[in-house]
Amino acid sequence: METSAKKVLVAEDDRFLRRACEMSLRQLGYAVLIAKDGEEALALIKAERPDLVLLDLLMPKVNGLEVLRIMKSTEATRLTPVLVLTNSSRAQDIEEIRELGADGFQVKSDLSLEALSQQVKKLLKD
Amino acid sequence: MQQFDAPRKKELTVQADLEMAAWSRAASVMHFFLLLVVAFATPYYHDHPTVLLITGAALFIATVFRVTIVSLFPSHYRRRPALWRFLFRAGTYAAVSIWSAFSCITILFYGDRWVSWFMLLITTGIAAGASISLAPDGSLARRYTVILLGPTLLCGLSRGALGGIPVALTVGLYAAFLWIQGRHASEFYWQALGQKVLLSNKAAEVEERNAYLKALIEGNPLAFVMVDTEHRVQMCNGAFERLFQYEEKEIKGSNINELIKAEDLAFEIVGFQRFAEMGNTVHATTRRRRKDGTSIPVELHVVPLVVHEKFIGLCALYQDVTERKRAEEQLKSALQMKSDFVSFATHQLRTPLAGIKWLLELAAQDTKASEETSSLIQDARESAERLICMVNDLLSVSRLESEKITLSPALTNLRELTEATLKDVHSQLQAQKHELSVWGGEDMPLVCVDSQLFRQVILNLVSNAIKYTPPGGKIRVDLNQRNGLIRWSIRDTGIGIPKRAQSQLFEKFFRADNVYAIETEGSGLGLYMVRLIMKNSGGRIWCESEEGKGSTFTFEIPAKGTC
Repeated sequence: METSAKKVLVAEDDRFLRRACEMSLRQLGYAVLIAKDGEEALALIKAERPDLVLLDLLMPKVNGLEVLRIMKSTEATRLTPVLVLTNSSRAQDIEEIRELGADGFQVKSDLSLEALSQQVKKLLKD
Repeated sequence: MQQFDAPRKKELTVQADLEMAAWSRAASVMHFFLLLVVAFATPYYHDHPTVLLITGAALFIATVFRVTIVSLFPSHYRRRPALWRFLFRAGTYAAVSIWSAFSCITILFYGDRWVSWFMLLITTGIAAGASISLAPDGSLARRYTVILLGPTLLCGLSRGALGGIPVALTVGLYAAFLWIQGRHASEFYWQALGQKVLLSNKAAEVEERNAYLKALIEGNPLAFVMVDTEHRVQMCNGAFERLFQYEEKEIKGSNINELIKAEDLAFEIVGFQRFAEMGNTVHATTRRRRKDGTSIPVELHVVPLVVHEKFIGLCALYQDVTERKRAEEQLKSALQMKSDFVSFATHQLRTPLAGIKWLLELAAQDTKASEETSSLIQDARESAERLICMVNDLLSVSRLESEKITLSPALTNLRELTEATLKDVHSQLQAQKHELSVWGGEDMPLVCVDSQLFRQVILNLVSNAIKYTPPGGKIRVDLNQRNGLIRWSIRDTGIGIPKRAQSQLFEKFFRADNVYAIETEGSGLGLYMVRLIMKNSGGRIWCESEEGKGSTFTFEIPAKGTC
């Protein structure tokens, strides 16, 4: 069970939200990797090859959009699904994120255990 | 004789009396002087001076009296015109009577000698002069002639002096001529006087009118300039001088365009002039140049000047709007800052709020927690939920206000959207035991709207109906179409909205007084947001309500077949 658990990387600079994500995903039975900024996220993506990345857009050092761009232009990670966590529900922002290759997006204020579970399951095709 | 109305006659009479008085002063002094001339010409009187002394003294007194009366004119005439006129006539009659007597005595005394002829000559001369100087008072002039010439004529006849009948006849004819001429002179005088007064009144009127216009132009706070058909400055006012830093005398005759045209607006100024010359009035907000070269924003009006159907030039008014422009800019940037701030703040609020909400959700899963703790966690979750809603509303409003929102319109079935939205409020409906029904709209045309925004509109209106209706109420949604408009309305049996609150209902943060009895939590943003969404979508919303009976909210949007 433990060995077959899929790895999910949470890249989020807000520590409370990060903790909530982490706990929720553990409950859902995933192995959780944590990154506090873009730099850490890129390192972990390279080293651990997560099955899914939850990506905040506004992060220190390297921002989320840049992480997304690098992932989608690297052959090894090109197909790794990315769920973008955003503060904006504006249609044009969402469209922009989609164009950059994000596989899903979630407005932070609408986050809940159920919403996260649905999104993650969909992207991991569980 | 020319006819004048009463007030006019009175006005003219004053003028006539004044002139007659002025003439009489010279005439009466002359009259006395003539007596001295006659005295020197009558040698026999020098030996027997009684007649000369008596006549001379009497005439002297009469002359002094007449001159006095005349000089009393300015001070006394206004107060007692009738008395003054009486005294003036009395003085005149006295003087003429004295002369008439003197003339008679001289002719009777000297008989057919040259002295008598000389006397007759002087006397007829006096009569001729008086008929002119007394022209303002025709009857006085005629009586003067009779008194002067009548006795003299009779004297001449009585003693056969002065050649008898033929001379008497000549003098008689002369008197008759003077009588008639006196009448004509008087008439002529009055006509001339009438014209003269009329003209001087007109001149005074024109002068007053000019002064009035000048004051109007000069006192005008707007800069005023008048140019001729060649755009040469004819006149300008003080406000123009101050605004453009030119003095009227230095720019008179110069082409206005060379003076105040802003460098890059040469085309515009000519355009405005052409337009005005075609008979139009131009209103514009633009820029003009001052003498020191600085450019100022002005509000400008150009008006064609047409006098007697002839185009004579243009008149332009300028108002300096520098201050207003600055205030507008400030207001604009303040509004932008406010909007930016709200947007920034709400964005920053969203992340920690999401954290709170989620962490509480996870905490609520703890089955080991006491019942009290669980209940506290539940309350905290609801509270966080409300805060999130408010922040979301505030953000939506801020975007709608700054028109930064991008509508994503799509063809939408309002009936389906309504039903989908109603699912969200199902639990609230049940808790309040309301009965809700939706009527019509099954076969209505689709509308082109942003369905996410309209969902918010419907949700807001339905939530309000549920919230402000006492439990067990009836809520009814109607959809219909007419004249190319789709109408959606919701009617409840709630507490209604007080009359005085209805006009402010759709304003930001407004809440009617009677809602506090029900709940105090609302933000006053819901209906404001609804109005903003309607405005952005080309629709309109209104409300009809009676306090205690219920409310009906209706919105209307154009039915469009395509998007």
